[in-house]
Amino acid sequence: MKTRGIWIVLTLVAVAVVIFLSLRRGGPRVPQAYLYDVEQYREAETQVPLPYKETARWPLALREPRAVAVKGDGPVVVVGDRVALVLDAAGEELRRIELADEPRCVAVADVVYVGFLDRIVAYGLDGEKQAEWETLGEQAYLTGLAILGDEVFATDYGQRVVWRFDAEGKMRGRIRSASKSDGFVFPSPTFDVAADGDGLWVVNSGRRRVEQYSPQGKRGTMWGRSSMELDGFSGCCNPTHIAVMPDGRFVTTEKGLPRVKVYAADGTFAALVAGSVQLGQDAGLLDVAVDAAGRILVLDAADRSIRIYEEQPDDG
Amino acid sequence: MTDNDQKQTSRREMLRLVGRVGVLGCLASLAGMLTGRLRAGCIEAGPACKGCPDQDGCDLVTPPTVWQLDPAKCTQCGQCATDCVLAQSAVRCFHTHALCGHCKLCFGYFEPGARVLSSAAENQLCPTGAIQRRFVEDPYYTYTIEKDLCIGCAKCVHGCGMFGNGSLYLQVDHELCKNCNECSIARRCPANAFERVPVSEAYLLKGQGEEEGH
Amino acid sequence: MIRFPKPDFESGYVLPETQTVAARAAGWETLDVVLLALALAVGTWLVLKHRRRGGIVALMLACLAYFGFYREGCVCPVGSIQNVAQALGDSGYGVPLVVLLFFLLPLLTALFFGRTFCAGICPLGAIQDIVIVKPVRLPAWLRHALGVIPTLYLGVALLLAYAGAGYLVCRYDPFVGLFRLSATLPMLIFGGGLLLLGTVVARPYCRFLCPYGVLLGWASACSWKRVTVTPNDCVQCRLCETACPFDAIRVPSPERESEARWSRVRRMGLYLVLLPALALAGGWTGARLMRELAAVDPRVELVAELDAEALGVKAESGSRSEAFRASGMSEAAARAEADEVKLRLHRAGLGFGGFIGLAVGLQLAGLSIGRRRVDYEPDRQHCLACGRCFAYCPREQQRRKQGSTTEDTEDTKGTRRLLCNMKRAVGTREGRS
Repeated sequence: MKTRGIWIVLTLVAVAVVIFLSLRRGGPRVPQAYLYDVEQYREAETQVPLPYKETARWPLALREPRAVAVKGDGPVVVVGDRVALVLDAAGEELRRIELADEPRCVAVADVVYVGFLDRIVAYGLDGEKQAEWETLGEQAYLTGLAILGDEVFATDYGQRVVWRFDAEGKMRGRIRSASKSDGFVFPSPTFDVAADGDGLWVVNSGRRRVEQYSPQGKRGTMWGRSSMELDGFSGCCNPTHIAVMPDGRFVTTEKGLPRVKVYAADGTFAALVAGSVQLGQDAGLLDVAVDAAGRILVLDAADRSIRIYEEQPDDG
Repeated sequence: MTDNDQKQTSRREMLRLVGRVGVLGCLASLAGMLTGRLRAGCIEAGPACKGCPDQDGCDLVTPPTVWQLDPAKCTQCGQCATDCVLAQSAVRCFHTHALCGHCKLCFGYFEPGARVLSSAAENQLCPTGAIQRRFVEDPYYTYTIEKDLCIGCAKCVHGCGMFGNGSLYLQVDHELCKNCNECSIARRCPANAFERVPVSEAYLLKGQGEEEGH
Repeated sequence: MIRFPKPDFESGYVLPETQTVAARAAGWETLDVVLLALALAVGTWLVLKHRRRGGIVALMLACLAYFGFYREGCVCPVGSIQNVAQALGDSGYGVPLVVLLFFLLPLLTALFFGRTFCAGICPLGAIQDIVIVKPVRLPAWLRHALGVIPTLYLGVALLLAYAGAGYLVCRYDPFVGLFRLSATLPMLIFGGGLLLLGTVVARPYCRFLCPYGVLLGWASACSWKRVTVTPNDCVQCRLCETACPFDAIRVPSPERESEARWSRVRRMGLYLVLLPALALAGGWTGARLMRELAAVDPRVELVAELDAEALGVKAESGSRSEAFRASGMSEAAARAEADEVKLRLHRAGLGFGGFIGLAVGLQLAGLSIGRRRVDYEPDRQHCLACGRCFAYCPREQQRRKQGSTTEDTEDTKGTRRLLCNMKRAVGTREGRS
């Protein structure tokens, strides 16, 4: 009787040990083959010099900032949460313009043009509403605005066109793909436009390149290549935003691997401004603007701030 | 039987009766509490009453629930593939075609560094080759998930969500799910993305609500 | 509004719909409840009226096939106790009616007719019952000692479920993996080990682990009707005692009391005096235990990971901390939440441990109360109503013969002879040990 009891106790102890061992969190580890790995491309960002430094960061009291624009050396305008904030060059709030709807994009000269989903509304810098332009239809989905001379250009992701307006909001025409096989492709709402003396620079993000157009819609040069390397554009649809610097160079921003980069006027890669180390891995869409002094203003929606980058003289 | 014995027996019977009534009372009040409370606190009564328009219309009790994961919370950690009680996970990749960019260069399909956009195995992201890529018309391609091959590792979901529209996402496939009382993936899910949903709304598909991709 | 406009397809390509397979319809759940109720009714009839092991085995196999292998174990009454506990602790969780009924029906049956559910309906019990080969009798001290485990397990599981820390009983359900034909290696070893042990120690999970069994036992202890070995009177043949693999047959109390009444009273007094100390010790242990067990809660787990990272331990991919940072929740809030869980469990553990201390003390004291029992009869609390003893009872044999045929003389003689032989066998075995 006694020995049998001992055997039973031993068996029960063995069962208890098994329970204890399985209690310990030793579940199956996730095999490496199941994990999406872009670490080597992040690593590459740390191997290049960063000639631009973040010199300031302006926190925004906005839940979901959408777009930023700057007028030369004048005020900066940020839109989001149904308001447009007019900031001075130091980031102090000058004015707050209440909007009727959720803004999508913004451009500023002497007038603030706020792009909503399907129309543009013009405001004075004093906050006075000047004009509400006609709707662009149910399919419209505006994503970018640019001012060239006295004309306003708006990119419409929903209809894959660039609309051309005069300063009064009268439509003058539209820019469309010449051919489907080589035309605009936008898998996601990343369709931006910037303007300089050479015309319009339109982001054809689905083909990962930037295309030059005349105001009349004639395509000129284009640059950009699809690559995970630092000098190319990665992902399905990059760059997401573009701005032109006073000296003719370009600033582009990318999603996926969040990057802000500078390209020379001929489209060759010039420098990395900030990568995922600086912006965080979960940065969303980054709108960008450049002021007359060459300062790069990056709207970091995830951080709810504007980051100011300035080129630092190479001090060794 | 002696007199004493009889007394003892009836005493025990009495005790037993008291106990029985006690247990019965406990169970009744428990059941009443659980069902009655649901009626009173309808709005906060969990998945059954989510978005219930009027309190009076509420059911007395919670309908059966099933497990589902919220794609908005999912962090693509890969544990859905390893932590299900089934050998092949009940979690699989779902595709909302209406959100898809139909990219030629799909980051849910190709390895990030793929040089040639062909369906060659070394270019494919999916560890089991469960994604079918078909040409539609220049420059568009369509992608479909071979359900039988998908293991729910979320590798493609991560790529698509990071670079693309996030049209690929994980869902518990109720064709496979055993609906365990406690979902073993839910327990491990680092993002607490699993929840019990009413059986009538068993899926949380993307593209049904107001969410918007980048 | 179209968020992502369809590409400008010209080939007439139509976007496919996302294919989903509907979950098992709610009607089936109702069927489960109906079948459970039906099985309980049939089982009760088999145990109390029909009194044939064969019928019980048939019911057991049918239920094992349906609730076990076809429905694959979920939801079962054993696990449902946690749903009920969670619903009591978390106002955001409602128990589905089906689960509530799964919880209540077997308990109600036990309250009126004994543990019919254990006898042939519970798939966990059934799978252990069919592997019983050569059951050994466990020494009483071991049986009593192990018998405390289910109560503890019940308490811990209920507390964890109440605090929202997960379902311990489901997590360590040893047999559900067998029903699904898919289990992790530790659980396979655990389940297989229990079945192996179950060949000699009958139904080890039911007797020494099952938390629902505790509740059923309590209900059964004050049941209205109950299983009896003999249909009428006991002939004191002791055959049923050998028949029962679960040591659940209680023997008549000895003619002369083995111990002086006075010493029993003194011992009982001592235990009663010790009660507060036992309760305190239980409370302390319970509180400590629950503090440790709090680590299984995801919210506590997260904070542990954050602490480890602060010390420079890098978390593996897919960790809670990674997801936590992505969620944008503040660390202070996470810590407050974890502390809240810990505190709740600590308090609950204190109360529960104290209760267990009291219960153990009372049980010890209760051992000193003399119970007069004249016949061999199944223990109300621990009898699993398996029906094995019926056929062993000569009175039952008699009843069956009388019930079926008239030619009873020869058979009754045979039974008597069998009875004599067996009695002799038992006697010699006792003499040896």
